[in-house]
Amino acid sequence: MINPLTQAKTLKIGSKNFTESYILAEIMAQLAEKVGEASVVRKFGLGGTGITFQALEKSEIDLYPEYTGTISEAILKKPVLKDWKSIKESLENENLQISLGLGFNNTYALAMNKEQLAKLGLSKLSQLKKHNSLTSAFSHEFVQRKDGLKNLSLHYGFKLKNVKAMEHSLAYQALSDGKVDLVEVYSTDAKIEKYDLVLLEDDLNYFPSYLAVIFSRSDFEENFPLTYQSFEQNLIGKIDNKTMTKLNALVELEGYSFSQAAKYFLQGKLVKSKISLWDWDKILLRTKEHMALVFISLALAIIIGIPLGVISAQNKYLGQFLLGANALIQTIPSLALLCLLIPFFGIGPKPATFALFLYALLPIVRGTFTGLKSIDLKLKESAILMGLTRLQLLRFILLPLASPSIMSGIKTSAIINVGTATLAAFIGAGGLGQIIVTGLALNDQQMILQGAIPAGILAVAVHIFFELIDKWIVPVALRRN
Amino acid sequence: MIKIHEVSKNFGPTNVIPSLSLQIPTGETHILLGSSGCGKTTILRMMAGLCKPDSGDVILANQNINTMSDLQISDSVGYVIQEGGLMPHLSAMNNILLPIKIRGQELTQATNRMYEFASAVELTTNQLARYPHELSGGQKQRVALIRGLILNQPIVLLDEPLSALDPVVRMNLQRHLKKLFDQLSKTVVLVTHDLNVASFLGDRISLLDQGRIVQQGRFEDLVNHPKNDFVRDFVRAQTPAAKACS
Ligand SMILES: Nc1ncnc2c1ncn2[C@@H]1O[C@H](COP(=O)(O)OP(=O)(O)OP(=O)(O)O)[C@@H](O)[C@H]1O
Ligand SMILES: [Mg+2]
Repeated sequence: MINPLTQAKTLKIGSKNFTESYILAEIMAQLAEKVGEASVVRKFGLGGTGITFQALEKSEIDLYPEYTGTISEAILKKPVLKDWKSIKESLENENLQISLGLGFNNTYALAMNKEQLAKLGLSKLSQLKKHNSLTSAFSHEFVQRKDGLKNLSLHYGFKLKNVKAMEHSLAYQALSDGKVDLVEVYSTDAKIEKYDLVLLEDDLNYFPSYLAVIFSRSDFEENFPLTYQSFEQNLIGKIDNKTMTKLNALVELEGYSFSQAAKYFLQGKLVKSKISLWDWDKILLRTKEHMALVFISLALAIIIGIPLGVISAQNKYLGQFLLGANALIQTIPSLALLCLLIPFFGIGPKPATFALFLYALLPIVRGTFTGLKSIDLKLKESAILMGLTRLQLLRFILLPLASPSIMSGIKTSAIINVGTATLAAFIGAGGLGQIIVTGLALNDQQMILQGAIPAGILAVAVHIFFELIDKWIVPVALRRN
Repeated sequence: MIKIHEVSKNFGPTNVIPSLSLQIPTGETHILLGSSGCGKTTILRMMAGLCKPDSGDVILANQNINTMSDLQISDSVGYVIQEGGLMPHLSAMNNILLPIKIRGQELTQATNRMYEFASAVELTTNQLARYPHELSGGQKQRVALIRGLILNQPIVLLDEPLSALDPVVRMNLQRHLKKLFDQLSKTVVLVTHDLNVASFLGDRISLLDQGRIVQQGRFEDLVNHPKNDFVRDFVRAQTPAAKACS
């Protein structure tokens, strides 16, 4: 029975932006919905371990599927912790908790094309040191992590010469196109079969175990006892490697949705509902979210940026400082900036809007600054001679004269924002990026286009919109054409 | 009255005005003559408070310019700068009426005044509606002139206001300005290179060389009693005007 009082609770379930994480999170969500103890909110497709873990810590989500190896290495930063028990104990101090394993171990493995492997006579990682010239493509995370490429190379004594870092799903494509020889894979990856890959045997036992677990804060059991119980009964030890690979393949190779795959696992039924190729409702919703992100952040940047530009033009040192600070913000990669903002804003549209606002500032501040600086001093003097106050000078002379430059700054910001806003999906802020990220996780070109094409159209529309605004704002005599 | 007392001005290492004293009584039209770069514009700028002298005083109507606010200065001085200084984003008409509008003064009276001036300087209503970049050099000069006169300040500073005009228009304009200055007994400082303009409009003339006044007096004095060769040469360079007086 659903108790209306407890129903007021919400259970926020997160996932990272790859298929397996989506499927596991969806399974948990469907289970929790069936229990009915709380209304379930899905915050899926978060951008990487850093962002997802921060979201958990800040209670932006209540739980998400994670792997023991990732926890010890990337979260606890204690790679010595190998076994489940010591990881669990270590998490207790942080007020965090992991469930028992779901039943499969999705560890890293290196894989190659079957034919090429046979040609080179390779089968084990220990043989790799004789083939250092192989071209390899690894995910950014694998290249960075200590227990990734770096220690693996030390452990096996190889030194690969041509290492490329790229998005995981792109690496497969590159391998099948023959552009690279060696990729890192997860051992439950559906694409192993699709691309006819063979895993190199980890003969010196390098890779740690990556047992899938439910990662939550310690109070999960207390707050959601029924859901917790249901997870214990239906998930723990119930998903083995074969099942997980199958679920992954359902989604990635056979075109089922995450929700259908989850249903298949929970109910054993495989129903393929008619999914239209282009889900217009979803696209419309995401486009609206996207526009909200772009325009709110842009409006803030205009309100703050123009005064900053005016100050910069009037005060030499403060001006240089402001322009420098703005330029500095531009150099922070967007994902890193989003990550830095989570402690202050959590996840969702707020930090995304703020990050977009920061990125939009520089072109506007600079446009205002340049516009004001290029005004002939004689005109300012003439205005003062006519008795204009500083404010009147700004309002009636300087800003109108600078308006072409200010507007071009605003246009630049707007277009950049349309593009950058796609990254907002990594912190659960929605927008067209949500479709693109899911499409990337599935390596589904159609779906990527469903996000990318509206984003492109939006960019053109924004351009046209501001050309029209130009006609209204910029004095007719100052227009270039 | 404008009083300049022992004013000097340096731009970096160059001493542009060594020590200048000059008194222009109320109602006088005073001409500044001199070769290019001798400091004429600099003197006007100091009279308008746009340029602070390194030493010495500028006094407008018994008040030291240092103690006056920008608005006070602009209420007593109308200044038409050498390049006109028209706002490129405003039509000629809006340029002229800008000082009126920002003061919140009554527009109809000012507009009438503007049309009066405009017909006197042979500008059409159509031309007044255009933007500066749609006007010729001479038309722009006349628009700037009207703007400088629209507030009707007691002191008027004009930096070569007629240089780009053809002789016929210039002649008419000169007559009109002379009438206006006399009627309203304005104190005028006018920079020109043209001895015709100088002799027609000027009550007195200061001939300058390197920031110093070489000779000061009526036009006839300069022609008939040149103080030195510099004055003689300067006047002779424009013979027809000089001949007319001798
Ligand atoms: N802001 C400035 N910085 C440096 N030098 C200046 C500045 N303004 C004027 N000068 C110099 O001062 C001298 C006098 O300039 P000014 O503009 O007063 O000459 P002018 O008599 O008006 O000349 P013209 O008849 O060509 O307009 C010139 O040598 C000029 O180069
Ligand atoms: Mg000059």
